[in-house]
Amino acid sequence: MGVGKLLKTRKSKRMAFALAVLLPFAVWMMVYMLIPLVSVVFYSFTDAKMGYDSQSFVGLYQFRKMFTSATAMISIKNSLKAALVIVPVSLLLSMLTALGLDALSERSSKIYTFAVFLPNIISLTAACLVWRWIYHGQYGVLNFLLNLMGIPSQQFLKSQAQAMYSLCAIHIWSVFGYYAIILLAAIRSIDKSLYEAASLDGASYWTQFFHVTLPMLKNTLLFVGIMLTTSAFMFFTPVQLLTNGTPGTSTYVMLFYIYQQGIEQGNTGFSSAMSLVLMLIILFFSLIQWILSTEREPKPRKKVKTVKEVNVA
Amino acid sequence: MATVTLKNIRKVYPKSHNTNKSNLKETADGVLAVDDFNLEINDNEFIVLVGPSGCGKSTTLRMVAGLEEITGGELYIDDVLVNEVAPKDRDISMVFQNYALYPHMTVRQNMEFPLKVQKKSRDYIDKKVEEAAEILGITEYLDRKPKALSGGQKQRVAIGRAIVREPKVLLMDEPLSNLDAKLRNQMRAEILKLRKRINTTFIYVTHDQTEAMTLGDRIVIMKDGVVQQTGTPQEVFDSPHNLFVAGFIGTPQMNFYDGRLVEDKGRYHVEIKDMKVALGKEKTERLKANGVKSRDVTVGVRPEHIVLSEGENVLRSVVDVSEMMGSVVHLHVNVDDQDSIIIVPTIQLKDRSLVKSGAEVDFTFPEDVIHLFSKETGNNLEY
Repeated sequence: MGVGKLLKTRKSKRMAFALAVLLPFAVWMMVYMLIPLVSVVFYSFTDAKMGYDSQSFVGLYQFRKMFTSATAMISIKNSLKAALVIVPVSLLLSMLTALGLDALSERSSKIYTFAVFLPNIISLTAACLVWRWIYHGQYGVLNFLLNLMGIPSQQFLKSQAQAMYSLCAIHIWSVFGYYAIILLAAIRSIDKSLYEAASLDGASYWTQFFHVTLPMLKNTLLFVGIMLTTSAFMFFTPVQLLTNGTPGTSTYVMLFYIYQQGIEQGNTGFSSAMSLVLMLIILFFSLIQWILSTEREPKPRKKVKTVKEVNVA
Repeated sequence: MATVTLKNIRKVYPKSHNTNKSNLKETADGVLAVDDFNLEINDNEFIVLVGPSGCGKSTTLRMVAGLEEITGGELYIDDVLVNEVAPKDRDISMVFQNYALYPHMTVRQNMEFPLKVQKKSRDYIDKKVEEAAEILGITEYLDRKPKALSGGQKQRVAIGRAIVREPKVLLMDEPLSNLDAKLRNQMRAEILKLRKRINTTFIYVTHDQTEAMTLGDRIVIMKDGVVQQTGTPQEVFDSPHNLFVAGFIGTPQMNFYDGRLVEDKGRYHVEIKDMKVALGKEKTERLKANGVKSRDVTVGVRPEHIVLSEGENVLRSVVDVSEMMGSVVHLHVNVDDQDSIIIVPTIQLKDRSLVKSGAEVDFTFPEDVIHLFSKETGNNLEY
């Protein structure tokens, strides 16, 4: 069979179509993902520095350096702390928001959905400038409100204890609406008759939530969880714009430290090694969530015979 | 085990609701989906609500379940007014057309869910679930997930979930509509069997008149939100109260002819084209009682009641198509451009040529199988 004949068959035509449409994406993948990934792995085992042409292989030196560097360890600790706050709080907030939006009437839900989505279409950089004022120690709106309630002014971004949480709040504000809408779509796609059946079966709202809504949202929740974890470790903009890692090193997160080391100080090798570790951490947490939510086949109580279709009377 | 009473039940959907069913009556408040529904359902009775889609039968059922708000009227279960009672407190269970099984639970978990919600003991739950599974023949599938079951099995599980807690009333909303024809017949028979084994009041919704006829103790026929007739299968078949019921119940459909009812010195006869049929005593009595005079009428005769005949006083027709059904033959014939169906038992067909299209067939009706409907209202003149 000649090549021409082969191309004429339906299967190969479909193959050609698939290749043609996937090609742009494949090129994009190569340039922006695969090559950088390979370079990161490569550079983490070298002493590469920006502005120098040559580098030599140094084995695990960069990793050893990282695990003995106090600042690096603090940045890892801070990132974990941020993730530990951002992921559960965002997840809970998105879930509650989605349930609330679902309970609203069709018309008002549209307005509120837009309001909830708004943080996503505002530039985070611009928003951070606003947040700087909200958090301002003397003139900030937040302190004004706290004072109204009789609570003394707080330092927020200038306080070692509060800065990290204040930044996390900005991050949560910027992402929860998006995930709320994803969850809302998933909630709305659940067959209404399941709820009707459950309510006739005597289930209260929360029983229905735990026995119908939550299990039906499992896949979506897994997706949201992984996306949130990734975004929590990629948490960077507010740090760079508002605190630069200060006060002290209390808001040094991994990505900020990588940026400082790699871009500002040109330590390509070191920042590559750190990036690799960051990637592995994200992978690790995503994997945990995936394992936790994969379906376990129920254990039969009795031995189940294999039965043909059809039925019995 | 309960009586259910529906008194002047109404359902109005606001106009914004996307109902463009123009045949429904509109009021100032919106579209009238169910109007003035009255029915007393006895303990242990099997009631079937039947009608074409959009007639309000499902809406009525869902109002009984508490899934739809009742706009007007009163609903009693065991003489207790339940209009404002939440579905979970009505002690009702329901089987849905699409089964509504919880996909993440096994068959056993699905069936024990209502009992778990009631916080029954483990032993009690196991006993009840296994009993129900036994009745429905799904014991073998107890540890499977619904997605591993066929349509018929899923519906059994749904029925199982509905009967485990022995509800006062069991509602079924087109439970067999998603099954293929063969399975539907089989499940129909099983519902009849199930009915004998459990003591509960059934309300069953279907658009299929065969299901209605075979399952129901009484049938409620609805159209455009209004009850057309309530009665036993025999009653609605023998004495349809209007043209709609006459056409809806029975397959193939009843034949209708334009005719004239003539009253002459206390006796009635019907004229259709050149044929005259004198009416029997019973019909005469009823027509007399209603004071019916000579008038134009729509005459209805069921295909199986038509008899082939020879001679003068007959309707002459030409065969269009004939369908051999085995024990009977369906003749689609043409009487002056009007279609009729005649069912002839095969055994009576002496002359096979009759079945050929183009053949000429003469027929008549016995006097006691004629239904007479008013041309204006469509109501049966006898009732």
